[in-house]
Amino acid sequence: MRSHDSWRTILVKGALGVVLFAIANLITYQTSGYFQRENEYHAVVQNFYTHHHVKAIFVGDSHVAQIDNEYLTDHAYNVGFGGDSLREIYAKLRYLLSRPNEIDVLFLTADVHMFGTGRLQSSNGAFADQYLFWTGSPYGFGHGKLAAAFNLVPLFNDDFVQYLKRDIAQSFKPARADDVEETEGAWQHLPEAERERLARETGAGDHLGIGIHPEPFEWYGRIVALAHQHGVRVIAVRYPATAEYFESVTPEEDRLVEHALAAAGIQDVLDFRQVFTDVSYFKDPDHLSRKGVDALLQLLETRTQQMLANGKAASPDIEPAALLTFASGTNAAQ
Amino acid sequence: MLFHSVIYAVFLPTVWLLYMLVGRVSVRAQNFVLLAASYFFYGWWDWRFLGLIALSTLVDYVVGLSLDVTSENRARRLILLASLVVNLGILGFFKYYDFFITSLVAAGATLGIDLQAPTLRIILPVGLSFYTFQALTYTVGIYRRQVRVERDPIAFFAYVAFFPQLVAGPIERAGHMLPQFNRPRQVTADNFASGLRQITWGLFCKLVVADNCAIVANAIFDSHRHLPGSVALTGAVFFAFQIYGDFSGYSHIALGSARLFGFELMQNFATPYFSQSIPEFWRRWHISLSTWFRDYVFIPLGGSRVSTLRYAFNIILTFTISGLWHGASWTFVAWGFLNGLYYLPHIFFAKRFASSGTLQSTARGAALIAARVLLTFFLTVLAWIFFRAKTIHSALVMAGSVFSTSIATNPAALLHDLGLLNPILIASAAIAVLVALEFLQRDKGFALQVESRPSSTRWAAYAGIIGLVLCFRYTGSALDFIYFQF
Repeated sequence: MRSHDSWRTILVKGALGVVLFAIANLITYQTSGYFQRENEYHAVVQNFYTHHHVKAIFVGDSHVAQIDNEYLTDHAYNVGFGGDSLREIYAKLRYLLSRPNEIDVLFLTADVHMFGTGRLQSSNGAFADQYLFWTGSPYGFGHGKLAAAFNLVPLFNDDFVQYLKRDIAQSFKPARADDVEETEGAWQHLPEAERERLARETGAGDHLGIGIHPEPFEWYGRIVALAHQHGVRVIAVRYPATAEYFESVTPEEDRLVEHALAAAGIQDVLDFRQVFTDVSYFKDPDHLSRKGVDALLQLLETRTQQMLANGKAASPDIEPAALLTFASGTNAAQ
Repeated sequence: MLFHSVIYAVFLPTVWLLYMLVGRVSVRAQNFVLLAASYFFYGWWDWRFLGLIALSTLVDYVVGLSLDVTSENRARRLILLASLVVNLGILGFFKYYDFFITSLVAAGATLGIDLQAPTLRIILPVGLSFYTFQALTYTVGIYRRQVRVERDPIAFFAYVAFFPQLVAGPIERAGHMLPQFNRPRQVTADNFASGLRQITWGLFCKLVVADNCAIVANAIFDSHRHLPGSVALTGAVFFAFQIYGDFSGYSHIALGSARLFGFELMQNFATPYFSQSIPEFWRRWHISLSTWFRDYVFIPLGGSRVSTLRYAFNIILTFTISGLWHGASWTFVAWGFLNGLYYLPHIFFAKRFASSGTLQSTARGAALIAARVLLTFFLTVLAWIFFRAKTIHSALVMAGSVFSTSIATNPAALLHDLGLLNPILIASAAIAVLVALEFLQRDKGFALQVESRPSSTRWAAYAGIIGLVLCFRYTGSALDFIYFQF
């Protein structure tokens, strides 16, 4: 039997549809791993405010996030999060600096892969939208503010859809024998040749398209300009990884990044790329083991102290030594 | 402004509310709202081209009035000629100038003649081919005394620029469309609901089917590697569904949007991939363009009521021109020509095709139908290679590989290397839903036309399709509708 609609039934059905849609959104938000990740993402930023007198912050992707906040003293805080691109770094920094803070030093990632094709879009893109919204950012809304506003509704969120599709596709895939990266420490125990192969493969993937796209360079400039505008000193950090991981980076690509740092006005660069050679410092080709993180923190502290002792601290009322004891006592010495 | 953009989701209800409000004043006021909205919609891409559409419409408006007051045949022919020169002149200049110049220079070079002719790198105004053809149905219609002259400039300008079908059709006939601008439109709740259903189906076709297929098709067609036949065929099949989902999706949204305002546009697609022959395919694919070429090119050439050879020539020529209409490139010309060639067996062996049995009720009949459908689909897929490829050479290489031994190569490894296994999984599921629903609803105008089904089926269909759109839509950078470029 053919159904006939009246304006009243359309309105009622429309209202019912809206209610069902709201319920679906609620369920999606409560159950999806994507939104759990979003909550973790925001928690990292919000926990900044539970630390008093933070003088130095770390920003970046998983290479930075591996320095867990529990390894740091109250003077330092890490808002780095796996998968962040420079746009997300800008958004979070903009948010933190827009509210009362005592930040003097910004440890900004200068890893080459942050300038590649893989970081043009981040899976955390929608998480960072709200920081851009709240601070009235003139940048960062590629599809317009209206589209970004739609992203706040879970089922309209493009990144969630991407996550869901990948999740579904993954569930159809049989587990592969070489899926070792997911297991902590598994990579370390592989034969050397296999480890090196995986490192090269990871490096080649991460370093695709360095310098091809202008966007990462523009974001870098904006981050540094924003920090300087708030009187924050920027120290660029190039994080350690295995030698094979860096093999795919050409000297020309390296120069491009160095040029970008100089153009942004960065004078202080801490280069730790190949400070560790022993496999025990790594849990996978480009992430440190606990031992590696401890060693990196000590290096960071020493090198930063030297750097600031030679230069002028951003804020004259801060003792460099106080600023730099960011490696907490909990970190186990090697 | 794209139909699947957030801005259209704001634009459409705003215009609709305004339209309903002024409906209390007059039809003319409603036409004015539609005209203003259409120019705003068009100007959203590039306001500079508004002058072009206004000029073209003005010329046709004046030509229509002139034809109406002129009875002398020679004078009428001259007036019509003026309309053709202006309309086709604008189309020819913007769309084909660079193409013909580069082709001329290349032809000269092969003959050893150095021709110095500058290309202008002209930007093609979006929808130009569509609104030009639509406007021509008016002047030719008046010339043939099949259409009444439109004296109200607002109605006429709104007819040419009507936003739901302005940039990619359906190419409406003045005789069907103009009268709708002159009488009060009935915006009923039934039509409104039907319009929303068709828009929803269109969004599914575009966002879920076409855009997910595009990931696969683009990666394969844009790959610089040598592709085995199996991978080339995979790319072509996904492109076949991409272009179908894309264009039929656009048309469904256009028809649905128009119905919200009380307008009925012509059906543009009728499940073409279920066709059992190439002629049937062309009766069901881009119907508004196929019938336009039939009425304004094929029949004036003599149509089918001529010798068999001349009939074949008319078919080939019409299809080739249709190919050129699609784009200023030899690949489109080849695509049109190839479709013309496909048609020839139906001209020369018409009796055999006509008597080849109607055995639907038997198992053998069903198998025969399935075989015909598959063969027709394969032929169209092969032709799509020419449509999608960047050059004739790459199309020939790709089509050649389909007929080589490499067709037996397992494509999985290369598809994995291209990062296409996940996209293929998603796109295949989307195609399966599309084909299944279109098969179930093949006697309807669109698959979500379910008002005669039980309410449980209806709600399940709505929830299912909306759920698929929400959860499986393509989320990369917005992909334009393919036919916008024509």
